[in-house]
Amino acid sequence: MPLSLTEESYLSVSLSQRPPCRPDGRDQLQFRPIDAAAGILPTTNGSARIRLDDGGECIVGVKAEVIAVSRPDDVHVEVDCDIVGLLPSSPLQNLLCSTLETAIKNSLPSRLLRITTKYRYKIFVDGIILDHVSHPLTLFSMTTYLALLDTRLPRLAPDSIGGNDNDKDEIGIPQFSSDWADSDRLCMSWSPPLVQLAIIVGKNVFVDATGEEAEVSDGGLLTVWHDGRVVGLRVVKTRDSSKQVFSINSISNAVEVLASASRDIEKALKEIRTS
Amino acid sequence: MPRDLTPSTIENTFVLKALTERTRLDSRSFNQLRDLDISFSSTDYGVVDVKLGRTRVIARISAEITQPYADRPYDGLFIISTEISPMAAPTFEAGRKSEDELVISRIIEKSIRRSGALDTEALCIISGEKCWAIRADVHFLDHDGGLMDAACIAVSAGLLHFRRPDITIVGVGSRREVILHPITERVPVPLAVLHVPICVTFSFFDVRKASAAIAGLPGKDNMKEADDDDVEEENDSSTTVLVDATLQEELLRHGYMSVTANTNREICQIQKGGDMPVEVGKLLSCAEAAIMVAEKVTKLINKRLKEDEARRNVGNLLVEARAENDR
Amino acid sequence: MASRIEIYSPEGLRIDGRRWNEVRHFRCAINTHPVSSDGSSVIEQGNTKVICNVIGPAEPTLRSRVISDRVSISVKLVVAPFSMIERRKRPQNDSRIQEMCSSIQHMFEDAVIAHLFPRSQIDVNLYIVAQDGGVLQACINATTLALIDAGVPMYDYVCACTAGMLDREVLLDLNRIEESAMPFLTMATIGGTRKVSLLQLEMTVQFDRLEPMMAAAMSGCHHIRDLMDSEVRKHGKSRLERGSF
Repeated sequence: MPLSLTEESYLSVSLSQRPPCRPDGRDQLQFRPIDAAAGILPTTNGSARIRLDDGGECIVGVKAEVIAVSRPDDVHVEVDCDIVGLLPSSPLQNLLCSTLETAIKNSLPSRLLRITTKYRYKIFVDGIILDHVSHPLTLFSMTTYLALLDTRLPRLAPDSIGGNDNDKDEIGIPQFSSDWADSDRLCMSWSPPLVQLAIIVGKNVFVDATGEEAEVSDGGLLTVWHDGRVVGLRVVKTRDSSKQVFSINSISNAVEVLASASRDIEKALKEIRTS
Repeated sequence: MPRDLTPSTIENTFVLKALTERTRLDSRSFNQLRDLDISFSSTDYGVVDVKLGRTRVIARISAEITQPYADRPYDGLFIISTEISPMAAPTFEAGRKSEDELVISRIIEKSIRRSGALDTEALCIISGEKCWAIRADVHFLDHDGGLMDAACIAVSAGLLHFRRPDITIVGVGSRREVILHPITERVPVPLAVLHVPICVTFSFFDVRKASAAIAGLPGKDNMKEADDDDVEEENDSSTTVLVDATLQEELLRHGYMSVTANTNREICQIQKGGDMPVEVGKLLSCAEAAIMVAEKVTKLINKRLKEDEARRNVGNLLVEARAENDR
Repeated sequence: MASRIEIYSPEGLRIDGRRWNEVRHFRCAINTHPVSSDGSSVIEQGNTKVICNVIGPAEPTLRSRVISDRVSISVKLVVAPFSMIERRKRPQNDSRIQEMCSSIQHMFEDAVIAHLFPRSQIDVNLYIVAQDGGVLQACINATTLALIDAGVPMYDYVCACTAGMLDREVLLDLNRIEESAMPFLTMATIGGTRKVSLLQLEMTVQFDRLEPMMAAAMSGCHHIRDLMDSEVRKHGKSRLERGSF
């Protein structure tokens, strides 16, 4: 439902004053509680579900397929998501999928997907966003992160591997170990990228904005966080009439805020996986 | 978007009142099919014109040689196309699939293709390289109820009537070639039809709901109805079953079930969407009735096929020239 | 592939160790998504898992959906690409999905007391996140529970179950491997009665075999009704004790 003029002006004044005052009393850097679970779907290689306090919910399943490749260094990853209530290939869906796909492709070392010289794993990340009130990008990214942490890829069957590495490359179609416990975690040495979105209102920056807060924002900024640093940056439209004109100060401020938020979230998600 | 025609209340009441008095508007009995007329084209093979009362459907079977699917090298292709044009009734829109059309095409697909009425393995010419693609185009010309029943009869009869050109394979190994003999040169070959599926649609009317409507109290005793269920369960006399409903009856019915059966006493497909709940015994007797109808219709198709063959077989030439022998 | 697996052993055990008349592990929960919907449920039947959200009865978003004397129900079904062993993305206008949607819609238009909510709409959203046979039955059961959770008055539970026929043996509640090996039907009954709301058979079966299949499916439906009923009662009781509605 669109905000009334009064609501809009109240929100934009309270959010742009210093220090800002959010309608739910949160700190600029504070997230709402989330409910997260990993490894919920036995038919996938890795899966996760995250539900936000406002009812937004996302389920992500990761599946791996074996493909024959000609160029050995390519990373084959496909990210797709279904946003309920929106038509396929809507701008929002394209933003979500392309951002995450690029982020994963750029950070995932190709050796992790190697089976033999000829065969590689192709990773499919599929998400369903059951409901969203606020911008679903952060939600989708967090769920994908958790699902990738949960992802396991089967090892080759012990009897199909010879003594040395050359033999391993000789075999034709790879035979996999049928024991699911005998599998490798995808994220042993790699940590997936995390995409976070912040909205900018005047000089202030907020993480985990509610739908109403996004309605009065000047625009949004997303950062791609990987391995302890920010590796990507992009300006995002958060509402139809957003100005998307920011001062350099607020951008650098936003990057700083997002970096520290990403660090905390990464830690929290890793704890969920291990617990 | 053209909307479904809604029958007027007065029409509704009249038809339902008549049903409670065990009368249909066209004076048929409840389990009687409308007049069925099947005629074949005098020139082409596989062109069938089916008239079921005022419903009219034409099916045309055609064949061409193509490449089989990579995952099924020994199977030929069989495609049924059932697009309903506004010619049948103004409620159908060209190019836009309505829900009715979806149901009709799914039922015909399940009745004929998935039940294996046509042996697709017999359509294979050279495995993985060449096979026959049989295509059934169904054209709905006039819609007065029972579209799927008529379409199913039309496709089944068309498959039985159709003859594909004879072929010869010459050469060996990778240099094999297929020679196609035009039907003017050699007697064409019939398709391997394994059974003749016939679809029958049963329409259900809830007389209690009807009597409520007649009394001008729509749905008033619905609550009571739920309580009565336990008592009347065994002797569920409130459900009226009609075979082969007209369009008017189709628009007014509370539920339907279509059953596809053949003369081997097999049920190929049952589709009862989620409308009006019906007692299980009644559904079983419907399935049995479907077999009876299938037998009757198959008999008529065979009779018409014989007549058609007799007409074509001038001077007994076809029998003499036929390649296969009677087994 | 199925021919290499023994579907039903001479000792009367199926591939997952069940007897012929046993349903798979049935787990259900209601009010699972209290914030985002008016009624919600999650159903697991064996390895098939379906989430259902119900929104409404509410004012119709489109004028064309207004029906003057009863509620209009619309069903949306999303099949997750990762729900099967092989990843497969289905388009939204897949005819099988559309057929399921329209069956479920018609079924519940008759099952809910529709004339109590004229000029309003109920949206049913179903998400199939894992499938291992019996997808339609799981969707129907999930919708029933979610509608109950939403407080929509219904005449009775609508409960669904499948039954298959292997040679002369009836098997109840098939999984995916069994579904591909034999003809089977899906049946939905109105509560514990003998009234059948939905019946679908997709493969050829002898007429004489139909009756035992239907009888088995019906007993399965009644069993599932009891399981769902006990869950609803348990949930209601715990809510009463908490004093929250």
